Amino acid sequence: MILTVRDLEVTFRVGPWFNRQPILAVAGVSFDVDAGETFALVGESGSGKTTLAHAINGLQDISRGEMAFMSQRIETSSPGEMKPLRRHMAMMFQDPVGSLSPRMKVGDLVVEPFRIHGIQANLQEEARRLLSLVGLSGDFSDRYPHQLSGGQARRVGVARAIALNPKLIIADEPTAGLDVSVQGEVLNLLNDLRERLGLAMIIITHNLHVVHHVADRMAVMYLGRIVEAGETEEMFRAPAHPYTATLLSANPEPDPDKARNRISLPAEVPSLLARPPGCEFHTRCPWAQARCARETPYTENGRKRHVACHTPLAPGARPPATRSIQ
Amino acid sequence: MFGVVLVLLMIGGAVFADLLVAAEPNRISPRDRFQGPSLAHLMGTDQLGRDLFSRVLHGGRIALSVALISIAASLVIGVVLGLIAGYGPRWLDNLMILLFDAIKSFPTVMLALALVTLFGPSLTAVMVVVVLVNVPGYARIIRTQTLALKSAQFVTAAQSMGAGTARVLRAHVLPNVIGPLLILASMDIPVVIAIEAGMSFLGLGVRPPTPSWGAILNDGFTAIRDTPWIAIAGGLPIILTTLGFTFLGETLRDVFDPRLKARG
Amino acid sequence: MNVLGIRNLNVTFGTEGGPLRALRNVSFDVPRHRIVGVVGESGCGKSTLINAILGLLADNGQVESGQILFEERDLTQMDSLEMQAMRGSRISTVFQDPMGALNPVISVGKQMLHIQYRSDLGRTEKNARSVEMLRRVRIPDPKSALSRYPHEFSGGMKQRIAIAMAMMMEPVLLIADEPTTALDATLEVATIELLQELQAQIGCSVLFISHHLGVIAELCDDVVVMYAGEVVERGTTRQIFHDPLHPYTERLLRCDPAGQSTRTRHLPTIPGEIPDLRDPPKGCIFADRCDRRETICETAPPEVEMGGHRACCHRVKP
Repeated sequence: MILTVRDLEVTFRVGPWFNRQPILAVAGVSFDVDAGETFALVGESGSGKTTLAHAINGLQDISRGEMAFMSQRIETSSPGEMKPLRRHMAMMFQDPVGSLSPRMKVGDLVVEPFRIHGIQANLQEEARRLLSLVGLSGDFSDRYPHQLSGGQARRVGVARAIALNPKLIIADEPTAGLDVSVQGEVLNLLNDLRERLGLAMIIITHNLHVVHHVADRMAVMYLGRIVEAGETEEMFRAPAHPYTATLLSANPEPDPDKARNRISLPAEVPSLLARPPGCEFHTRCPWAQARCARETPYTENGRKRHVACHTPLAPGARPPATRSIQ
Repeated sequence: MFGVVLVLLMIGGAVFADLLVAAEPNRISPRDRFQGPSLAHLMGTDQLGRDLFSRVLHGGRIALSVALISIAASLVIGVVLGLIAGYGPRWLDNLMILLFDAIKSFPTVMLALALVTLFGPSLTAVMVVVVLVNVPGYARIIRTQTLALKSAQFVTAAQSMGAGTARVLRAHVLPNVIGPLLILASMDIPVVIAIEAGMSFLGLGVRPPTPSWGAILNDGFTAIRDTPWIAIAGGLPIILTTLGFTFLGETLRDVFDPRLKARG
Repeated sequence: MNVLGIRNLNVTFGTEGGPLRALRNVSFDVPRHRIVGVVGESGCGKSTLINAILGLLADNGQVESGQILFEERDLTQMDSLEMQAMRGSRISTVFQDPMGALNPVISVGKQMLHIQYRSDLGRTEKNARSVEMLRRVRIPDPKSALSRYPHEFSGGMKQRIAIAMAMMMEPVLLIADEPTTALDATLEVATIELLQELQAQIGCSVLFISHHLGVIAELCDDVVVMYAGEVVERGTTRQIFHDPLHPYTERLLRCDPAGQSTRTRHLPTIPGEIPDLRDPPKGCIFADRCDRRETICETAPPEVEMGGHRACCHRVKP
């Protein structure tokens, strides 16, 4: 196991100083990532997935829980102790162009990790090697980020992420803002590199189609909690949590004649400032029963498939015609 | 490019003043007073018969060195303080902003008089005044931009790679915030020259007979109807320097912002 | 009957490197009561097309030739005052970012009143219409929503308010520019369903711009496929998605990971870049990246029609 996360909580404080309100952005998340495996964190905006990624990298203070990367605790590490860990844990951020320093040339950007960690190397040669690994010619060394297309900037981000042969890459929405034809290129590249370099990956996304093709295991997040986790194929075949089933059915597919069988959700996402009691999904869940509004479903913190629901769905379940609670 | 040439000419003239003119700037020759421009005296002579071209070139030494040194000092101090205020903790930021505002609220002339009263009139006093006047503004510019970049994705990316505060500030923040300030600073150089001239006139800066553009200009004013070349000799370098550094500022902007250059 | 007819539209931008031909011979129709989708990737000219229709091209942009016929009148010939009267009443727009349409410092109710300034109704009636419209886009407690400000609503609700405002004056044509791109999957679906419902109720036509093939397939009646400033294929949604004629359409559909029902580690892509529009190729615009390129592709392909399904490719034989 390369990364373990246990009962992780991140709290933000919002509002004016006389009325600070705590917001639980990540509310007790546990999962493991094995060496060489791809793990996907799926959820809609506000589900806490980016905050979670920042916490793993030590960019975000946590309020509770434990994290260990390569058997070293993250949350208790000082900045000095974090630095060697970060050498083995690379991050890719949402905005492909915005995550590159605008006044630095591509050639300098990709070898930035060498400079940060004071590693002696022929930097020009390394830049060329890294760029060719991601399929960019050496000419790109002299370009500035604003002269790159979204797909090219994303490749530069990938090159920089693999510069020091990390053990783990955390990719936040690696295909956001990319055209469909380019999206595939980036995912193929990540897959190739993962196989060739044997690295583990955490992919954070709201795009389920992407998850299906790249992830070995996945976890679905709702309001900062993991509501269901397991093998990707299994979860696509038989989603057990109503939220997972809804997300899967909400994915528009490029076929006008496809039978939609969509599960529609009655209400908007609740505010993190006013979390619903019981099962937090019950305000929107078509299957919700009286019990769901009172009792919090048990969440198992194991590695195997787990579902935080009182009545997990059978494969292919359809929502009842009327909700049993209002 | 024009700006660079002009600035280089001014600096060259000041540095090589002794080689360029034979006449000594402070040699009084009552017989030659109020002579118009000629081959012997390219810019004419003043009320004491001193060669104006020589005085302008030597005056340039003082004007430019005062301006360059004090602006450079303001830049370094302003950038460091601005980065600390913008990137550091909130309380430090608030404290520093309070300090900047306190300094800024002093009128420049009062500040100058206070310093001269304390330390006596000298070039150092002029430079200290310039630094004190400029630093708060410079620091604020850097601080505002740093604050905006603090949560930029490329800054977070640098932190995620393990870059420490010093490296983040030097390699990722500074190159993105320094451009506008350098432009402003290069355009401030003529202002400093004017301050130096003004203070010299008030007797708070350079003492006579040391040549200074401000002093020449002021000498010229008294006799502007009969001998306009004295005022021209004092004013022309100030105008040229202003133009030169303003154009230099624009060139700098192109160099420091590759995005603007790409657009042509 | 067509609400909107684009005829051989050519739009050029003056740039440092010479004129950039952003739209070239673009032609298509938006028939009454139909939803027409324009699909294409970055740089295909979608935004230029919208701006040209709305008469809002940037200063360096110009309609070189062609017509934009809206209810039989050519929009390219209208002066700015006439265009202004068109926008917001006959033609309305929903953008990707709902905050662009909503003024952050004016309450939702006031903004909805402002839109109705041309109407003769009294204030109370106008407010009643606003409440009715908000109810139709399923804003909870629409009466109190009137006195609230845009930032008090979530992203999905803001987009629905923007849609309510666009539909307020019952436009003849609604232009929707990637309205679901910023939304999550569940909200995206809700927005599609809402647009379908409102379109049926009000009976307007919709020009829906998106790069999301799934959304287009689900929402639209007709589809226009654009590539590098040209329309390469158009037809009904079924024709385009089930029987694509142009190689670009075909490849684009294959690229969408949503189209792959079985799990694959290697996703299809379209290698290459779109051509430089300051110097577009003489022949087929897609030839550079096409894997079925022949010598004839160095000449411009004709538009071939088969039962309303048109494509610009030499390989397509009627």
